[in-house]
Amino acid sequence: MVMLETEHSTLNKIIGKKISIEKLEEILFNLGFELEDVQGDNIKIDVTTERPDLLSTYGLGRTLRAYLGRKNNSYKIPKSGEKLKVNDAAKEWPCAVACIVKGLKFDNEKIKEVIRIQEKLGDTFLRNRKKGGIGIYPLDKIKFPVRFTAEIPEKIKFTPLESKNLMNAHKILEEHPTGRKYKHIIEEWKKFPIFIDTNDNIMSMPPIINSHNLGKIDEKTKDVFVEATGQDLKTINMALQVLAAALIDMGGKAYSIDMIYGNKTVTSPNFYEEKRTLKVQAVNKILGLDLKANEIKKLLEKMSYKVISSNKKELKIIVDSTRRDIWHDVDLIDDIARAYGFNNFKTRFKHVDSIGETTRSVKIKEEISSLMVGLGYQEAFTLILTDKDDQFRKMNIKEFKHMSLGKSVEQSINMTRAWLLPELIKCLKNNRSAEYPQKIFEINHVIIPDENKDVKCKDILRLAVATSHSSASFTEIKQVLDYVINLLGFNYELREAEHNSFINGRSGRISVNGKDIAYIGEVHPQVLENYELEMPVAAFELNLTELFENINKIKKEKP
Amino acid sequence: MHDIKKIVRQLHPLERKILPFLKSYNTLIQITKNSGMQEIEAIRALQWLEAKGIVKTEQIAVNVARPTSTGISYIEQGLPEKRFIQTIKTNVMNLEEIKKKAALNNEEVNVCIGMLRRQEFIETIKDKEVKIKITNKGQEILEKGLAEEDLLYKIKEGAKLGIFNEKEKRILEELRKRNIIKIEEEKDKKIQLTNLGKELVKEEIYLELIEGLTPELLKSKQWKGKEFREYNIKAAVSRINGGRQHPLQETMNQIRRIFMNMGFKEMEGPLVETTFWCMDSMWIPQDHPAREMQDTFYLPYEGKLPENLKKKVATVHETGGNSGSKGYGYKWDENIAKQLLLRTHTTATTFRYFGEKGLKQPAKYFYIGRIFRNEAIDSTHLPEFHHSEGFVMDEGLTLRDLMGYIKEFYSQMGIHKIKFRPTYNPYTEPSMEAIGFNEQLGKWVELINSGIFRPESLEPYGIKVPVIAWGLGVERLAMMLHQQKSIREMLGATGDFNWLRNHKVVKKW
Repeated sequence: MVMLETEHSTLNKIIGKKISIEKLEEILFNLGFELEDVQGDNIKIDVTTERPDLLSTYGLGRTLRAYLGRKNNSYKIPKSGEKLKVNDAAKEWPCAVACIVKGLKFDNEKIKEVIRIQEKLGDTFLRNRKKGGIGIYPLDKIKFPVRFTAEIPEKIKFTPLESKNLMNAHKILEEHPTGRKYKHIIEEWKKFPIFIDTNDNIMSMPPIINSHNLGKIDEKTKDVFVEATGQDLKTINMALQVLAAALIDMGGKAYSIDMIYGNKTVTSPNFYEEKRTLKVQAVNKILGLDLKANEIKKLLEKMSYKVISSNKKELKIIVDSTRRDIWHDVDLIDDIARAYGFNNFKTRFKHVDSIGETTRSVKIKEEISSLMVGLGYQEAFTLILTDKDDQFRKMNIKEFKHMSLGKSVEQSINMTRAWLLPELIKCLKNNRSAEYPQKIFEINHVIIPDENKDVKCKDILRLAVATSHSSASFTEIKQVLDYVINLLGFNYELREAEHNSFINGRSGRISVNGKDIAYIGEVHPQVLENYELEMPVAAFELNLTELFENINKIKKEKP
Repeated sequence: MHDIKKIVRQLHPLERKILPFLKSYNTLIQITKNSGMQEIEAIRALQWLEAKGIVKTEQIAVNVARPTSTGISYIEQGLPEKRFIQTIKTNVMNLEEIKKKAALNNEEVNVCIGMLRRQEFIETIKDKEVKIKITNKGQEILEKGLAEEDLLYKIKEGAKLGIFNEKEKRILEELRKRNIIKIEEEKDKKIQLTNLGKELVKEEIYLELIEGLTPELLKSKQWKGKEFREYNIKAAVSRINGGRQHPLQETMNQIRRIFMNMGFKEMEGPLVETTFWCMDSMWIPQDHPAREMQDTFYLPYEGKLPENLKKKVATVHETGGNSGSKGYGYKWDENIAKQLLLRTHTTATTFRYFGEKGLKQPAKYFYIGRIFRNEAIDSTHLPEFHHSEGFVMDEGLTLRDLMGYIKEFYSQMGIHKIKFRPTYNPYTEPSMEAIGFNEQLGKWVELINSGIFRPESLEPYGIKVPVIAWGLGVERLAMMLHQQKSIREMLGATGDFNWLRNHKVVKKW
C-alpha cells in the first residue's frame, strides 16, 4: 500500500479537464486504485508499489489522461553534452545516473511536488533509501564534469542542507536529523559515496543528504541537475525516469548526461521503448471474452500503450520504460481487463469435476471437539506466538526444545508455543472476572523441533483441557480424559509421574501402547500464583498426532 | 386480588416452615432460635416471601452481650468473688489460704478484696496476722446469689442488650470492664407481615402437597390422589453456561462446508516454512517489500530446499525460463530462500501441493490455516490470524470463471451483491479484489483477494493450464458475522469468556 498525497485541483490541471471527486473515485476504482481520503482539496490515493510511475501526481495524471482518451507527449531527451565520471565508487553503492532539466518555473507548489516525489520514491520504491537515493541541485551552482566517488568519512566536509555549519561525515550522521534517520544505511562502510564537482566542491553525500550550498533548490531555480545513486543500475534508472518524467510534465526540458564508468559510457535517463507482440487469442483465452484486435487496440491505448500495428491475429505494442511491471503478456492482458472494466465482465461458472474431501486432522478435531462441547467445555482459540516466560518459567519448569523467533515487533513474542496448557492458563488469567466454573479446551497445533524435516520442525495436534473452580480436582479431570480416550477407542495406562507444573502426587502420565501421549494433574499453586490465579485448576494435555499415528501402526501390524 | 389458596399451594417447604413463627416473632435471630431452621434456610424463605409481598424485612443492627473466654471459664467455675466468699463461709482465713482453696490468682484476689469490701461482704480482722471474715451481708448474698452471676448465665449464648433493665445494664458494663463479657454489634433482620401476610398466616397451610416427585413416590404410587406444590413458573432463573465451539471455528466450519459442497478437497501444510515455499516458489521477487523483516517473522534457522525444483525456480526468477516472461534479471540467491519463517500466507501450502503432490487438472483444492505478520498488537491487529483460500486448475478457465466461483462461494455465505476491482498481487495476473454489500452494516466491505496464477509462478511445476485462486481473511469474516469489533476479544488468550459463552448463533438457514 503506497499513498499518493496530492490535491484534486493539481490533478485536474494536469488532466486538463475538471473531474469531480465522484468521477475520480469511480475511475480509480476501475483502475484498481483507491481514493482513500478527501479533505477539501487534499486527496490521498492508494496506488501500488508495482507502479513507481504513479508515485507522482504527474505520473498519475498522465495515466488518467490516457484513460480519458487524451494524448500524452512522449519523452524525447537530447544530449546535454555534460559528463559524470564514476570512479572509485563505494563497493556497496556503485551506481549513479543523472540528467539535466532546464526551463523549470518553480513555484511553491511545484517544489512541494518535487520533494514529495523524491520522498515517495525513496520511502517505497527505493525501500527507505536502502536501494537508492535521489538528489536535485540548482544547475548554476555546479561546474561540470561532475564526479561520483567515495571517500573516508573523516575527509568528507560540507555544510548539509538546512544547516549553517561545516560538518564532517561522522558529525552529519550524528547531529543532522536526516543524517540520524538514515545513518544505519552507510555507517558500517569504509568509504561514503559523494558527488564532487570540478571545483572539488562536495555536492552531496548520497543517499543521506545534499550540500546546503550546492544542493538546495528554491523558487528562483530554473535549471536543475538530477541524480540517482544506489546498488543496482536498473532500479536507479527507473527512479530517475520517474522524477525526470514529472519534471518534463511540469514544463521542463530534459537533457541526458553521459556517465563514464571506466572505459564504458552509459547515457541516462534511458527512456527506451520496448516492443511487444500480443496475440488476440491470448487475450481472449485469459479474459474469457471475444475481443477483436481493434477493440484491444483501443483498450491498450486507454492504458497508455502505443499500438504500432495490428492485424486480426496480433498487435504490435510499445511499452514505456517507466512500466517496470510488464514482464509477460498477462501483464498487458491485466491492463486490458482494467480498461474494459472488471464489472463489465459477465461472470461464468465452469464446472470442474472433483469430489469434496477434508483432512484426517480436521475430522479428528471435529469429533473430539463435539465430545468436549458435550461435556460442557468452552472452546478456546489461543495464539501460537508466545513468550518463553509464559511457557516455561511461569509453568514452573525448565526450558525444553522449541522454536525461537528472530526479531519481533512485540517483546513478549519470542517463540512458537511448545505446549498448549500455558496458553489455556493465560485465558483463565485474563478471564478471572468471568463466572466460575470455567471449563475450557483447545485442539490446535504446537510446533516441535525436528531435524529431519525440511523446515526443521513439525506441527503437532494437541488437545488441552482445563477446569477451574473452587473444587476443581484430579478426579474431575481424569473423568474427562477417561471419557475422551475411551470413546476414541483406546486403552490407556496412567502412571504416577512428577511434573513441576502440577502438584506432586496428583499428577500422572498417560501412555497408549507404551507411548507417552498425555500428562494430567492438578496445577501447582506456584503456577497459579505466577498467573495471578486464585482458583484451583486441573488439566491435561493430550498429543493427538501421536495417538493417531499409533493407531495407524497398530492397524498395520494387525492386518 | 390475591388468590390466597393459590399462594398457599405455591409455598415452598421452607416458607411453610417459617410462616407460623412469623405470628409470634419478628426478628431473624428469634426465628432461627425458635424454629430450629438454619439461618441460610430462614433467609432464603424470607427472601421468597418478601418477593411475593408476604413480609417486609429490614436490616437492623443490635448490640449483643456474650461471655469472653474468661467469662466462659467463670461460668463453669463461678465468679472469683463468689468463690472468695464461698471459701470463707464458715471459717476465717488468711489471704494465702483463700487463694489456694478458691484457686484464685493474685490479680483476682486483689479485685475481689476491693470489691467485696466496698460492698461490705467481708471484713478484715487483725489477729497475729491479717485474716478475712464474711459479714452477715455476705452470708445473705451468698444465700440469694450474685446478680453478676445470674446475668452471666443469661448471656451465656449471647443476648441482646435491649432486653435488660438499667440496673442490669450497669452490671453488664462492669463485667465488660473486667473483660468477662463482650458487647458486639450483630446484624439482624426485622420482619413484618404485610396485610397479605397477616391474612395468609390465618390460613391452614399444612396442606399435604408433594414437593418433589421421587422414584420412591412413583414406585409406591403414593402420588395418586395427592396434589403437588405449585411452582411460580414466572420466577427468574439464573443463566447457565453451556460448552460451545469457538466462533472462529464456527466460521471455519462454515467456509469448509461451502468448499466441500462445491467439491473442493482440503489441503494442509506446515506453519513454519522455508522462504522458498512462502515466497520464491510463486515468483515473489527476492527484493519484494513483503519479505521485509518488519512484516515477516524469520526464525534463526535454515531449512532444506527441494533439489528438483531449486534450479527451475531460480531460472524462472532470473530469465523467466520458458514461461514467456522476461524474468527479474537478477541472480537468484539460494541462501535467501533457505531462511525459515512463519508463513505469511496460506498460498505457501498451495505451492507445496503444486511442487510436491504433482497435481494434475482437473483439480479443486482449499485450505484454512493460520498465518503470521510481525505487527504490533492492538484492538484490530494480532500478529497471527487465519486465511482461507481455494484454487481451481483446469483447461479453459478464465477471469470470468474466477468471478463466477467467487460469486458462488459468497452466495452460499448469503452475500449476493458483489463488485470486482483490479489489484496488484506479485503472483497473480490479472489480480482482483471482490467487495460485497453487507446488509447488516449497510455498506460495502472487502471480501476477497484473487487472481489467475502467473505463468512464471506455475512454470517450475509444469502446470500449463490456468489456475484461478482466491483467498480471504477468516477473522474479518467471523467478526462481521458475529458483530465483534475487537479481534483480541475473539482470538488469543485475551478471548472474552463472557462473549464466547453468550455470542449469538449466526443464522445459516
